[in-house]
Amino acid sequence: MSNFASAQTEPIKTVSTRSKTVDWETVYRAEMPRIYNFLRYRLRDEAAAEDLTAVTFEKAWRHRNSYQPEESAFSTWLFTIARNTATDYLRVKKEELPLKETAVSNNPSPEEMVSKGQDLVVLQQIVAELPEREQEILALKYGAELTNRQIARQMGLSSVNVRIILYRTIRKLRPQLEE
Amino acid sequence: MNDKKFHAFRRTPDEAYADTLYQRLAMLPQSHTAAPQPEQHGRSRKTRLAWVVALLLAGILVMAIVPGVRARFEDIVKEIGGLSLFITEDYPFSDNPNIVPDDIITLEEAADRLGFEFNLPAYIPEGMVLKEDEIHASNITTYIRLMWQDENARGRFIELSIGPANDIKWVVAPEGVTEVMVNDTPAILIQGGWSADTEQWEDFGNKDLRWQLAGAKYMLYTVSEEFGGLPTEELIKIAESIAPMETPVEAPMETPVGAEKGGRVRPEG
Repeated sequence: MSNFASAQTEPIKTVSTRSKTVDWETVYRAEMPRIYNFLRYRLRDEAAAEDLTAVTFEKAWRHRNSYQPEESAFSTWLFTIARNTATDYLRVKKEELPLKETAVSNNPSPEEMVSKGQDLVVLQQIVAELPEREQEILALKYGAELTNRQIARQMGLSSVNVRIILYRTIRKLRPQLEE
Repeated sequence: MNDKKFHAFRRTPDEAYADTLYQRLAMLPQSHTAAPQPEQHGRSRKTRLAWVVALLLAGILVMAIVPGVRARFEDIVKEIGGLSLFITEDYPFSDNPNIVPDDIITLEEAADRLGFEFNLPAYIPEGMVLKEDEIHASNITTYIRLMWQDENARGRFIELSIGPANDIKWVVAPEGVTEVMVNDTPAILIQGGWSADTEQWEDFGNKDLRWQLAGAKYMLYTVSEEFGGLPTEELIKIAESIAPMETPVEAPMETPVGAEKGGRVRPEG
């Protein structure tokens, strides 16, 4: 990442929450790419992922005093905001246009499309049919790169459940990736 | 599981976008949703406080007078073997899940993180070995977690969490908790958990045995027997094989020793 900390605007070094100071710059540097990729996998829309990453961080910044460090890590709190923001967005979008209708022809193979930079189209094709829970777990695993244990806690599942769901989902999707 | 291809869709955010967003955040005001200014709302706050106190007193009065209400209250807050339970059909924390990463520590560091020495189980089922490279220390509360796993059946594992005794109330489902005995001491067996999907308590087949011993709190977890988890009798046998410490939890620190089965682990100091 570039020199965002030395931008013309005075950089935000730390934020004070109720009982703990969070190094905002470090949090932003570490979590922004993960939040962005979680939303990219979740929404499969580049522009929407950027918009909602901004919304997530703006919400977190505006409401940082409601963060309770004794209950969760700052990153956990951020992911909760990101997940809720994505859910709200998808709910509205679903009413406007079903996701399946945006899928394109699958003539080229997924690997060819990834190499041509059409990775979001590939992602859309292979995960759009999955239930919401599986889509969210995939986004947390491969977009945000959380561990199974972290996903389990975020989703209110056991890590064994997460492992089994991931195993079954990947097994289901693998033929489409290997076509 | 070969899932490498799924990582291929990740992208580094555009630098200009990252910079712009950071600058925009720097200019945002913080939301002040906390208490209103006392000069403007002092009277309304006092009135609200009076109402809260009045309602509280009314609630206490109703609870004292009406046996049904009193019984219902007694049903939801319970104490077994020094462990406090909050029994409810709802899950009050579903909007704030917790994924704070743990630290991975050594067995020698475990007692130091806890601040007291502890004993390992003298009995561990055949084939299970302590995963010394997977000892976790919580970053939220004072707890460490150890794992024993069967190398030939990786679903067959147990997790033992140890922490100081405290007055934390555990939220459990009405049907999800049973009182059992560990060496003649009351303990609780929690089965199932909250499902975020169905938004209700469900029995996943997992078991969580919790008990207190010499000022420390122990939790022994196993997955469903369907996935290789242990039956309740085995959990209790393991729990009963943990010898109580001779010194209380607040005892002075000593040199760390012992990592083998049934060994004693002491904090540095």
